[in-house]
This record gives sequence, structure tokens and C-alpha cells, in this order.
Amino acid sequence: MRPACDRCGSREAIHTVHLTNENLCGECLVQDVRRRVFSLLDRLVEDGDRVAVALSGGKDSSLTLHLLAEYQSVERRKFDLMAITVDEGTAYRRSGIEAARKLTRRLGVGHVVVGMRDIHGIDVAEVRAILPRRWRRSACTYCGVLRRWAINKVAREEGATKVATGHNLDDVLQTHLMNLARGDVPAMVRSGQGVKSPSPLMVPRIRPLAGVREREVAAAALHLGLPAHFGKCPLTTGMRVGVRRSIDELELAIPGIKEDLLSGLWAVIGEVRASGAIGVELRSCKLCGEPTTGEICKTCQMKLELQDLAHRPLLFPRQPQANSNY
Amino acid sequence: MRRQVRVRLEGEEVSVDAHMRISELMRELGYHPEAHVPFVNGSPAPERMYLSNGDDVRFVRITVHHPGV
Repeated sequence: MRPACDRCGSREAIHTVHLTNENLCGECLVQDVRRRVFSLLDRLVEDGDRVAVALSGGKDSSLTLHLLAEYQSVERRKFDLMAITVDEGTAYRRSGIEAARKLTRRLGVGHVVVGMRDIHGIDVAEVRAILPRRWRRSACTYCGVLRRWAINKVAREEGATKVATGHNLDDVLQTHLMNLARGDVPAMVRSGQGVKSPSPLMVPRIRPLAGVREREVAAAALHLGLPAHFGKCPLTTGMRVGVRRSIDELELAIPGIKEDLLSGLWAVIGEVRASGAIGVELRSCKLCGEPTTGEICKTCQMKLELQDLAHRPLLFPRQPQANSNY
Repeated sequence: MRRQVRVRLEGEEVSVDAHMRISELMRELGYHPEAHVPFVNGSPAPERMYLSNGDDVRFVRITVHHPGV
């Protein structure tokens, strides 16, 4: 028999909070998640913003869009909302795109779907097929870089002032720890919340779910009946899987370590940023004109490699402002 | 002898200890509580719940993995 919710005492519980051992019903869980997300959005969203949600159709980005639409309706800030979906060309993505379409229709939010093959001349299915097995890089690495480039470009062209991603507390912590392991402090500094963009071509990113654990996101999305698919990308490999497992194990031994680690890392990142020791200087990529720290952006570097492997030219769409440095 | 209940676990009929919580069952079967959501009779269930006769139990993996933030 299902226990009653420890907060309201009336509805059946659907979720156990690991930190407190509380049993929560769907309503109380969503209320708790909403409170945390709205308080973060108060800091991240400004009047007049046009927020583009990077919507994959998975539970995280679907909940992000749902909560942003709710936040918009309570009018704590006056802003526009839209969604962008990148079709990476994998069978796995198809169900996500359908879910994304359904959700945007339900919420009445404008939705742009862009094909990775249309924008880059190659999709992730082909990347996976042509990558030599001996290479240490997986298709995931390419997918992330090519997708972020596409989202930034489409968001900017759609007049977005912020891109909201569905990254939850677990995702953000994993990324910071991976950057730390690689010694990539500039990447850690760049990926902080509410950071002003160092370039007009780079739309600042916000992560409204950064204070919500993945399992809370899943339970809340299920309770809200969001058309979110729960599939795991079949191409996923690499460092992130190992980091995720290690943090989960650590969490079992030390409950609450996820929140503690993340707030500790944010404190360190804040100190580094405030010291001005690591600045982010961007220029235009020589090939595509998009913002980059080097001569050629990571996306174009990868596409040059892929072009060699595919034995055919890929697409390098160029920005009109490509000559300006900033 | 401890009381047992008959449940459907991932589609298979099994007997489990009536005093076993879902969290203990997950631990025993190797489902990580941070990466799986338990479903009982088709809807998400709290891990502190005890199982009853005839319950249909499934564990859904929630991790999707996002490359980069």
C-alpha cells in the first residue's frame, strides 16, 4: 500500500526524498521543484527577454519548458518564450521530436526544428558510422559540439536573448567535475549561471533545473504527464558515464554530497571569476564566423576532421559579421 | 518463517519478504536509487513503500546523458 504524503498528509506519495527520507505526493514534489526553479529564474530572467528553450523532448528540457511557461503565466517577469529542437538524425531522437512537438502545441509555444544534416551537412548517425574505432572520441563528443553550435545560431537568428537548457543538478555537477579532471578551469568559469555573454554572437545560457536532481525531475515530469520520453541515447559512451556512476556511488555513502559538491564548486568558480584571473576573450572563427577562443572554432575543427573521414565537403555556413573581432 | 508476498517483478512472478521496502529490493537487485524510478502498478512509487500481494513492480532508468552543459 502506498504511504500518504509526509507534507500534505492526504494524497498518496510517489517519491522519496533521499536527503530527508520524506515521502512526497506528486503535487507537493512539483511545488517544491517549482519553488526552487522560480527562485532561480528570478535571478536569471529579465523583463524583455526572449528565452529559447533547447528542447530535446526528454524529461529535463520538457520540464524546463513547462516551468518556464508557468513562470511566464504568473508574470513575475515579462518575457517571450520559444523552443528549438535539433534533429541529430538518430532513430532515438525521432520519439523526442514528436514529444517536443506535442508539448509546444499544448503550451502554445513557438517551436523551430532544425536538422543537423541541413545545417552542418552531416548527422550523428553518419558521424558514428565513419569514426575510426581506435579514436578516443565518441560520437557523443561531436553531437554535443555540433548541437550547441546549431542551437546558438538558431536562437540568435530567432532573436533570443537567453537559451534555457534542461541540465539538472546531476548534469551540471558531472560537467564541472569533468572540466576539473581535465584541468579546464576556463570552461568551468564560462559555464557558470547568469554569466554575461562575452560576445553579441553568443546567446547566454541559463539552466533553470540546476538545483533539481535528475530523479526529482523524472518524478515531477511523470506527475505532470509531460510527453517526455525516458530513453537513454544508445550512442552514449565516454567519461560522463563513469563520472555519473562515481558521483551516484558517493551519494549513497554521503547523502547530500551532490548539493555540497556543486555549491563548493560554484563558490570556487565565483572566486576565480571575481579575481579576473581567467578572462574569456572571443574572436570570430575564420571559417564560420561564430565566436571562438581560437582561430577556428571547435565545431569547424571537428567538421574538418569529419570531412576527411566522410570524403566529401560538409557545410560551413558563414556569419555576415565574420570579420569583426570583439 | 517471515511472511512473503507474491509480486510481479519486471514481468516475472516472485516472492519477496513482506517487510521489505522498495529501496531494499532495489539494493538487492542492483538498481541504483539515483538512476532509477520505481513504478508500482504503472505509476511512480516512493522507495520507502512496502509491497503488497499482486503488485506489479518495474524500475525505469532515468538517466539520459547530456553531452556538455
